[in-house]
Amino acid sequence: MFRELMQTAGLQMWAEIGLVAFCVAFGAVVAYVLHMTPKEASDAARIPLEDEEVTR
Amino acid sequence: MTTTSMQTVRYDDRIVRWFVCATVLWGIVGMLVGVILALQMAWPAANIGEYLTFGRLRPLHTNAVIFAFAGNAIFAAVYYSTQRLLKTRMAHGALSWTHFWGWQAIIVSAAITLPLGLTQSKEYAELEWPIDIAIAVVWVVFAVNFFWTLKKRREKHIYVAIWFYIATIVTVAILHIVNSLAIPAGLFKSYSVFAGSHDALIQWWYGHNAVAFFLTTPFLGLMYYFLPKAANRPVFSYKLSIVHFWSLVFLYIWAGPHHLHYTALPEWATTLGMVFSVMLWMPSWGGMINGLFTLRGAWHKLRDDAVLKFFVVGITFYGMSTFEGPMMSIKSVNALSHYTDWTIAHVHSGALGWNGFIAFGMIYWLLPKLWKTEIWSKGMANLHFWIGTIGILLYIVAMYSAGVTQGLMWRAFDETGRLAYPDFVETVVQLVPMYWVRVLGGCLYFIGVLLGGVNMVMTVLKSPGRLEDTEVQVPAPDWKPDVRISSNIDDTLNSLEAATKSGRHRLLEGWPLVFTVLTVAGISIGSVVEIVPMLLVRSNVPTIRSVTPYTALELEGRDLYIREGCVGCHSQMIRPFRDEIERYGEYSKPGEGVYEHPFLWGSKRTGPDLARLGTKYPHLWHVRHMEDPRSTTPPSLMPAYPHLLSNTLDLGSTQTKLDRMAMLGVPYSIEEINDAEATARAQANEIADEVVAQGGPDGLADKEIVALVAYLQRLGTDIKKREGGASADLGGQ
Repeated sequence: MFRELMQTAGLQMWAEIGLVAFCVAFGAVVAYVLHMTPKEASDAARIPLEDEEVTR
Repeated sequence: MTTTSMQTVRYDDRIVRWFVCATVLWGIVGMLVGVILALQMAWPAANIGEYLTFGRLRPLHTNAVIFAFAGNAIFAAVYYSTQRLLKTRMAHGALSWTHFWGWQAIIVSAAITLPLGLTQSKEYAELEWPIDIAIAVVWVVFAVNFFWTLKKRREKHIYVAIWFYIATIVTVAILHIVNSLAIPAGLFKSYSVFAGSHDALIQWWYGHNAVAFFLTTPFLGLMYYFLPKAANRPVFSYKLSIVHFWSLVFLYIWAGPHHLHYTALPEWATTLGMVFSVMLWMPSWGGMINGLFTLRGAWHKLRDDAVLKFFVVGITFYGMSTFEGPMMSIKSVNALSHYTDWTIAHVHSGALGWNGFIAFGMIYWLLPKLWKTEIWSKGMANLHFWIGTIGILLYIVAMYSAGVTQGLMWRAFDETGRLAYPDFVETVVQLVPMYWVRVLGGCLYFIGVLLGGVNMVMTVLKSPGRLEDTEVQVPAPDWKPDVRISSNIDDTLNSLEAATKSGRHRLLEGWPLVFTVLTVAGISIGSVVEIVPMLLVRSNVPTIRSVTPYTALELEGRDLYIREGCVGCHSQMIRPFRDEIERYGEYSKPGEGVYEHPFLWGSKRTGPDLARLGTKYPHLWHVRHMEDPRSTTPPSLMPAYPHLLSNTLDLGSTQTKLDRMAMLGVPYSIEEINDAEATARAQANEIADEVVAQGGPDGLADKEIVALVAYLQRLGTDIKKREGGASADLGGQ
């Protein structure tokens, strides 16, 4: 009975909204990544190693 | 040619040293309690006295390992790496020390209150409301210190590790506050504001994301900083780290309902949890690959370097756990694995392998740097690694075997169509050898942790006496804009153009506030989509008219059930499977939980489900069973609770408890609240008289056992009442 009640409550839309929201967000992140140049990525990746260079 | 002016920064290493010491200390304590629990599961005589039973120690173990051991490791990592990644000292020393001592005080208060039975019973959120408030305050202190440091940074761009820290700080705050919403019924007693299936959804939204945002994201931040340092290689793919971060943050928050498959939770919610759990596979493995590939060209170092050994095996366990987790979230797999020791194996491969090894890898890397000396014994560090690895493997292999054995035995039918193992204890007996293997594995891991502790103490002892903070020269920040309003739109556009030249995501990283807001938005979407519909349909949860509130005595009995931690071993949620209905009775309905503050569905069946226990046995059976479970069920592994027969039942706050329940919407009348103590006494006398009539001991009317018996005899009986139209609601889902 509970299943029937939930199925008629129109709640599937919430799940669909969630999936669409994820796809949009994921697409935006991938677009960001594809627009990065190799140098930008390389510079960022080296940030943790930089503090060794400046330590006295 | 331009010259960059340099500035001197002194990093606060003292706070990091203290967090490292606290990590090791609480690691020893938490894992020692784990070994004791493993022993109690194999040999019930190891349950000693009233305060050291399995039910009371289990939350102590989980809290000690998660919040004390892993928590202090996280803070050590954050305080060490944040200062260096942002090239600035922590914003305020007093806030750092308030954070440190506040967190240790919370841990100590947990270590005192949990064995005393002061618990809310919600997994990984057991601590009572005053401690919950303290956690929120200390977390805010941490957050203020962290974001203030972010504000005064000298490095413009925020490295990936910091993103994970930001996600941890904001999400843990949200999870903790929402899940801890409770109404006090005394200084150390409270009731969750949510009930039944709503409480279950909120709890597992919290519970799963405690794993995600306390045991995963901060450790990934830790990995992204310390692994490149240890390997002396930049992270394999910065681009992959961006995808890893955003996908993980967005997806993880949805996955909680996979803990509630086939329960009285809407199917759409559990399906949503399952789908997003399976999708989590990809970012998780992306992170694992990013970690392992960071070692490109440095694999030869593994031969001698204990730090890299810990990291590599830790990341491998991360990959295993994040493969297994989505697999277990698939409904057909979950039908077998849920409530069994398979879950225990999964949890410990993550906790011991991922969290434990990553934490110790970090500690072994930090020791020489923080105490400015060589590590005392590299051989002992390598021994720690090997003995720990063998310990984990023994532990998880034993628990996988036990879990699959349990699951298959519970659902087995013979050729006549009846349960092959109708007596639950038959399945328990089969597991005892595997429980002993777990004791062995746990002991080995614990010995490894002890070796780590000895190595740390000896390293500290041979360090130079006075330890100065690390002082470095860093470039002065030339990127901080002047704080002034642009006189015209052209200036504004020019500055925006200059800012975007280094890439849009890096621009985003330069705006921590915007970054944080987007992170909050990411986690909020999943939370809102899952939780809001559930709360909106609250009025539509099918009420069963025969389901009525507990009597005053039953409510007291329920609180004793919570106090003793019975929920750690007994579920109260019968799934709609043939074998479960055959074994326990009618499957559980959402409407049965409308007055359950908090819900007590449980997540593990070391003992049988109790949802339909009421009236199955006479009162005397329960009295004997609680006094000594072996007297009624000889092979039982359950602890004995003789103190329930000697402790005086305290009804001094019963009226307050009913009053608080009424505030939460439980329909108690004014008369019922005012007469709570008297009616409880009357029911206690009736039960005590029946126990005597059944040949039991006299004088139990004012003892705790009568309240517990009253509660147990009530379980699952409401839907059996024919009056009140209940039968109409039993037609199945």
